[in-house]
Amino acid sequence: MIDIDVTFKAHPISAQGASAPGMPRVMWLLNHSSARRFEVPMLKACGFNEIFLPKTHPVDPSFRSASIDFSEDQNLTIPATDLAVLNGADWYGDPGRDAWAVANRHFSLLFFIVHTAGALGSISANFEGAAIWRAYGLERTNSYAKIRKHFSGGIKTIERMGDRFWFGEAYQGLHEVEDELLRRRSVYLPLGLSSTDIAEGWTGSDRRIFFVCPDIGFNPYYRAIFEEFRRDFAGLPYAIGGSQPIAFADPNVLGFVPKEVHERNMREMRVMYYHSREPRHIHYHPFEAVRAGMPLVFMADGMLDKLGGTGLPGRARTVAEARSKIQRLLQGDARLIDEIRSSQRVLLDPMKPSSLEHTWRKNLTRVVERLQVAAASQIAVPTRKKRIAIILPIVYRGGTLRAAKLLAEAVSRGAEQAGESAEVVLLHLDLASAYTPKDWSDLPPSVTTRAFNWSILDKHEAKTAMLFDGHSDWQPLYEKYLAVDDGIRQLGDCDLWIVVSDRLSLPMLPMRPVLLVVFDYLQRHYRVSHLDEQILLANRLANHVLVTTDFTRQDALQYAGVDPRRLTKVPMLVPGKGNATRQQKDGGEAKHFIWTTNLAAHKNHRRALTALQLYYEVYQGKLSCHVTGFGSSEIIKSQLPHLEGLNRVVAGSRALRQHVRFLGELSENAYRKELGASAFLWHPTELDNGTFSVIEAAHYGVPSLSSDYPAMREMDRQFQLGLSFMDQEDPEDMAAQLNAMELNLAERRRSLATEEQLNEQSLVRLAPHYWRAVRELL
Amino acid sequence: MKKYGIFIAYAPTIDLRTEGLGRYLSSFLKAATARGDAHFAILCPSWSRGSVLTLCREADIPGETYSLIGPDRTPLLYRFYQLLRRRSETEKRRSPFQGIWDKLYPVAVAHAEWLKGHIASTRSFTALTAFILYCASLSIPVAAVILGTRCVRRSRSLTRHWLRRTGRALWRSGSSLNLVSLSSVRFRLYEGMLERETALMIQSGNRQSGISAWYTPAAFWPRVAELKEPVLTCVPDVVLAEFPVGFARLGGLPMQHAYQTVASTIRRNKNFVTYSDHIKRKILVEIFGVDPNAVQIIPHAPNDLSRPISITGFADNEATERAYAEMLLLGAIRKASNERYVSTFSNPKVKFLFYASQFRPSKNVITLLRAYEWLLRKRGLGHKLILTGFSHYESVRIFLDQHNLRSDVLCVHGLTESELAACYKLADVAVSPSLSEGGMPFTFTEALSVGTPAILADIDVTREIIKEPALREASLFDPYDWKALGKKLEWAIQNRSTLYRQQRRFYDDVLARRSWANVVQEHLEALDELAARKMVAVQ
Repeated sequence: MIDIDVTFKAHPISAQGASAPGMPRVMWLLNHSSARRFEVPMLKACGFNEIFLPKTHPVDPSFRSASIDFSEDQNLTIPATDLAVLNGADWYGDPGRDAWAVANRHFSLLFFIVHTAGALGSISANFEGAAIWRAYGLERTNSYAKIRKHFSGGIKTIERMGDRFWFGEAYQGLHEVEDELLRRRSVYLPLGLSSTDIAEGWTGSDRRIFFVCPDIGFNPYYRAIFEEFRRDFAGLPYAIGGSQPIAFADPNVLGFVPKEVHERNMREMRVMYYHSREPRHIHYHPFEAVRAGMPLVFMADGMLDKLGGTGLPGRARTVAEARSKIQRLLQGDARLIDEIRSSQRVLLDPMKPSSLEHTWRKNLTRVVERLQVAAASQIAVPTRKKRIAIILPIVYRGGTLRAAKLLAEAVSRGAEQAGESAEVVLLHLDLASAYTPKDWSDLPPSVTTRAFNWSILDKHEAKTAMLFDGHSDWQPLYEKYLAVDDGIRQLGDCDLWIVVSDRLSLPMLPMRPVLLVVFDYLQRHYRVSHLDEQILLANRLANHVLVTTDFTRQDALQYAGVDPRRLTKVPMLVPGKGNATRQQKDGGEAKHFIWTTNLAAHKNHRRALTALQLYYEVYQGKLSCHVTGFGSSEIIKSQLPHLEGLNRVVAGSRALRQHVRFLGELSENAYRKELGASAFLWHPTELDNGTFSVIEAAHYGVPSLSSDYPAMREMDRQFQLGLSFMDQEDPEDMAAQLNAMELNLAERRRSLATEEQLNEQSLVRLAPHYWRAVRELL
Repeated sequence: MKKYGIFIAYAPTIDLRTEGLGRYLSSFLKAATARGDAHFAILCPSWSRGSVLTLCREADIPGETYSLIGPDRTPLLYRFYQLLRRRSETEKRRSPFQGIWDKLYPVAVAHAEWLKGHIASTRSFTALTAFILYCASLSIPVAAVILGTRCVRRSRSLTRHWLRRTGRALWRSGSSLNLVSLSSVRFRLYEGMLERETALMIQSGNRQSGISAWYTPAAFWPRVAELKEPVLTCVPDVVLAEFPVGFARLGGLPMQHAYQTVASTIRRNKNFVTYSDHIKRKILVEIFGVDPNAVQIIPHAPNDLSRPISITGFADNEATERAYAEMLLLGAIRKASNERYVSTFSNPKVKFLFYASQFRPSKNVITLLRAYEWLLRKRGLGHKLILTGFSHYESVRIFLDQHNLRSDVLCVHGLTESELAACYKLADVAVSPSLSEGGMPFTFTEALSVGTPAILADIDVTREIIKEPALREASLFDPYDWKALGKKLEWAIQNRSTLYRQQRRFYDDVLARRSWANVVQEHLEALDELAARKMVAVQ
């Protein structure tokens, strides 16, 4: 036998949070009360005196045995601020990078159970010590391998931990039905009882069967057990124990009872019946009955057989045999009562802490030694910078292209500011007609670009690629997958794929985490795409989604159905001031205003032209309207359904012909010149995620008149733009507001955001928000 | 112990759990059996036995407090219909040979692997020849089995194809003579089956001894008058008379028949009960000329849905209850008709408005949809609208398609009681735009019982119960004006907690004082009175 204390002292694992004198600290990330009563003292008996216990657990009716225990905090010799971080973290989900940093600083050993996909991924990706997945056994049809696959979706998690991962089985042989990895990594840490003393005082005066069956009101598994019991033991008096979070209308179901009532039941009930024939799962209450001295009648072939029960008189091979024995007990067969009571004590022997301590010491020694070996043999591999791909999935120009470039810069700067430098690669479609090198000339040097083409993998190719990438359990759910063919490593060199927008025609091959940046869900409000289902799927398959307005956030949750835990709102980024200079005049000398638009349906062209007509013909408007933007010169020539007939509208109005000029897409400089000379900017769009153009206008001291929709209201608030609003569905109001702008130009200019206010929302200031969201996925 | 009878004869297609009348029946039975001094003999058709049992089981009604009577074997025609339905519902049945195949397959694979290994590694020409010969000898029976199976399958599918074509041709020639139409044949057969089943039920009911009087919760079954003991017939409503065009378009011959049976039931029976004064006066007295003294009004008690989702024993019961309800809600959402949309929907905290009812011409669903579309598209409200009706209902389907609302209006059909309670609990507001109901819509008490406010159409039955002007102002809207409904919904969402407090006060102070025990008591008193009258008459 290896003395566990000596071993640890001889090889202190100080690199990772050793506590004095050389014993590693342990995170026991469970809240099960009975298990804690046994395992925490056992860990202490093995020399682990510093144990962290989680202070929150999932709000879930199935966590009926959970409780929170602060008592171990006093033994921890870690700074109070660090303990506060640990106590505030959600260890059943993803506690976040900061909590992991604290955990890694102080702890080397971690016990966990898997309740969410987040926990499995988070522990594997972040914990640097040894992690023991505590396994207390499952029903026959289930296995931990299945659970792992269910939560990980086949993506590698614990495989990444190598020898630092352990499958900590509480009963010998649980690993036999598991997959190769769990079998190979199994370590036996037997579960026992905190006390195995047999209580005196059982009377059996209550002539009823005590059958423990919790959660009947909502758990179909227990409901079926209850129904089976009721059928098999019909006609016999019984009481049903176990907590019933949802009340069950049956006078025999006791539901929650105070401790003293429970103890009385254990003392007075004539017999406990235990139904389970599960070979790998056992409940706590049969042992409780034995400890209380109550006769236990149980079904054969279950775990009690393995614990020494095969020859016991309380064992029944069939329900009929169980019923017959119970009937005898209920009738007061003193001989059988004595036989069962005196013989069943043997069941407690394998649960005695003193019998189990040796196994715990021996096997934990193995765990810690292995951890030390791993730490010692770790070759110093030069860590390369994290590389983040930002992908433009389709050809984007205008606002979205600019947003992608801003995002790339924000991620790069955010990483730099946090002292965690990262490489950012901006990927665009390899179409010479779509982009020229000039499009990328304004990117900072820290951001590089790559051209790519989408390649489509059928499910077999996808499976193979995932297998080669180490995700051996991954199974394709869809027929085809998208991969980014950049002509290099298909983005295998990048640690995170950020896709700007959700316009993905197929699911992406999940070789790396995918972060979507979604600006709007226009399809909820208009019929804009034939890819609605694919777009929704892209949102739901992404590891995380970023949005920039509350309105889009609402649509992401309500329409796209994204899990709120996978959604973050970051502040909207806008282009910097550049070399814009603010006009000092009141604008009275301006002869025109600008309408920036394109050919999309939601740009509200028809109502806008009607409003312009009213502005000139009814309000005698003096300012001409210059229409700019990609495709804007085509508005009155286009055959698109939503633009059809606009040529006739313009041709039929002398005022429109005279005052409205369709300039098309202007160069950056030409646009800025137009903007600088304009009286105001007009934004009559129906709905979208807001427009940069009003910010740019503000930099030039040009006020804006905008449609009244949520994203523009949010922009107005974030940047304090002092926007004027109009009802974009009412041409009358639009015309009236145009007129009001013309008449009150000086006042509108005065209400514009100051340069200082705009600077507060600069990319440099907002970059940390982006980096915080991105780094959680790295 | 007194023994009463309950008579129901719903169509085979009706799943009582999803019908308002089913929920009413379960509440009634639950309260009645809880008294402990009454036993109920439920007389129902053979095809409803399972449905009634499930309903009682889900409502936790003790088995010893009721018994099922009536024919227990279902008609062959019904069984044939069930068979057809099952065939169309189940995708592919497991082949009877699958079990054998499952066992044989691994053995065959292992043997093939063994052979492959030996053929690939043998160094002896003789051994190789032997293996090849062995393979060849194996391949003959294997090929025979495969070919045989294929032949059987092919001939089976050809026969089926031929039978189908012949059947269609025969049907076409029959139809061209204008002698029969498929729907009328089906309906006539059903009518015949129901008629015969009801007759058997009556025989069975009249054979029972000790039943003092019968109660029938709907006016769909004229033959109930043939029961020997007195019968109290409940007339929940006669909506067909109020929405003639809507229902005529909906059902044709079956609807005509339904109306005739209701009318016939009312004419043939003598004692009635309604849920509201409106139904008594406007329908029974004014339309059918029933003597007002023969009609008793017994209003509903609140339908408390809190039990299946109330959690106790946790540090934070409310949070646990919410988490449980969210889990149930996701399950409910997955039942929506837009399967491709909801199958991966993963936000359990989705905000929504809720209306639990079937789709019928009287339910005014299109007004609700118009209001919702206005809120979503014009008022920036991000909520979903969850309805429990069946999405194939034509006008609803067309509206949703035309307005691109398939992803935001979810029709979740076939909810369990727990799922229904969870939907009510998590909704921001429950709404009932229904233009006609037999009594105060259950929406009100069902929603309030789990902590959600409700707004209701301003109709007579509602005004009978909600009398206080301030509460009416807060809770009711003009059901003929979709914009009024939209504005009321918007207001209710913004003032949710105030509205809830106001309504809850009324619920606690007025509505909750009446329980299902009172309802049952009043019914039993009415039944006892009928029995006593008969006794006196006999004496």
